[in-house]
Amino acid sequence: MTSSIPTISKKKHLQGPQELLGLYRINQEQLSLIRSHSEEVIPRIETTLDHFYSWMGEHPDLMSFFHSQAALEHVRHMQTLYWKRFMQANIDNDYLEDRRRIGSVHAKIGLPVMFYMGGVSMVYNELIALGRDVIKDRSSASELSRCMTDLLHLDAALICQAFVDKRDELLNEQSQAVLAMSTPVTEIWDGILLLPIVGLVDSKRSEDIMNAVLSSIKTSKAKEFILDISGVGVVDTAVANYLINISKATALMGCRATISGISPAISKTIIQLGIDIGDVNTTSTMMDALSDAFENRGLTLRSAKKSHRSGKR
Amino acid sequence: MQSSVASVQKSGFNSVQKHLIVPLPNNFDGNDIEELEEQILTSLNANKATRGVIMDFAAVQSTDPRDLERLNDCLRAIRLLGRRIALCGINPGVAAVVIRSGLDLHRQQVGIDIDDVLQSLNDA
Repeated sequence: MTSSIPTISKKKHLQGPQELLGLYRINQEQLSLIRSHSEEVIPRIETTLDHFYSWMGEHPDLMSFFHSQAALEHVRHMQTLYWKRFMQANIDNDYLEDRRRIGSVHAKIGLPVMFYMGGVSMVYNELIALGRDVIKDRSSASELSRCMTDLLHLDAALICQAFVDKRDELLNEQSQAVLAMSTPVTEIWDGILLLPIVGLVDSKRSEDIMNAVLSSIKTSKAKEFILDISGVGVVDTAVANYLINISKATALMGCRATISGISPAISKTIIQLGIDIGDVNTTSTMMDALSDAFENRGLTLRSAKKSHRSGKR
Repeated sequence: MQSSVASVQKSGFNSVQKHLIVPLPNNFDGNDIEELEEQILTSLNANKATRGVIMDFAAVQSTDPRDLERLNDCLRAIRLLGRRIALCGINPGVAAVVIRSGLDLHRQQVGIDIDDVLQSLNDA
């Protein structure tokens, strides 16, 4: 099955630490500068996080992502590690992977990027203030601030990209699940396939239906296919053409198609729009279509009650 | 079923119940069809008793709309000689390409495989 979410190919050469540092114009001297102040800043991170958690307490929407006090404490512990690692500024593959993992977790729990960025922005501002506290020289403080900003941009980009990638992945999984539910081709009898369609039919869905039906015909070697459209709300020229094409395609595989569930309203619409359905078989009810299919397969339905009675006579 | 009654014609094609069986190669192109067309028409001309041609798509996994168009011309040429045409073994991917290219191949006699299409031809 094809993926429904278009993805931009991610160039492999922009995945490694050196390439990413180059892209964000961060050099080793800048990383050393951050690192050189880590020992002074790290012990004060807990105070910054106290402010952060008191800010979070004012936002019940944000707090709702943490189901227990233990979960909150775990996240705080992880956050302490996050900022320590940031100040240690050792940008290797492991560091990048850690940031990507964070984005992926945020996507899984559904934490909006807006909240993440709000939190980062708050801690970042406090870190900059801490930097100014520990460095008295104004220009050095300003240089440290610039280096931290660049590194934070890289961090945020990694986390947001991983967030988007994970969301795409989850959406694709959901699309596949919805697709499987929207094309439930079932072999209801030996050599007879049934597909009831509910909802709207567009070009993408008709393509999915065609693929699902043709694959089922190939596997089951079915000779009869019933496409029930009683649940299709609107049949216009485009939808009719999709349905006709599906019928033609099944015919090419040696399987006779019948479109059932044609209501009087749909029938009138087809005529008013001047749609030529060609030699496609149609019936008003699924029962009629099934009855025709049985007949074509040389099968007859007999009432067990009746034959039982006649047996008694 | 067909193997017991199949005979090989001079053209190299098998013939079953007076129908020429033409297996199409995977990824056939215009040149392949031209070559096949020449052989089929020659064979039909030489064997007046042949009632029709069965194009077997079983080996064809993918195809190009232009080559299908060329195949359609070949089928029309066969029909002009007054012979029946039947198709069999069409794979889902090929069926989708046929529909997208707007060819009316579904109007031919179609079967799942050679036995199935022979059965349909006998019933018709």
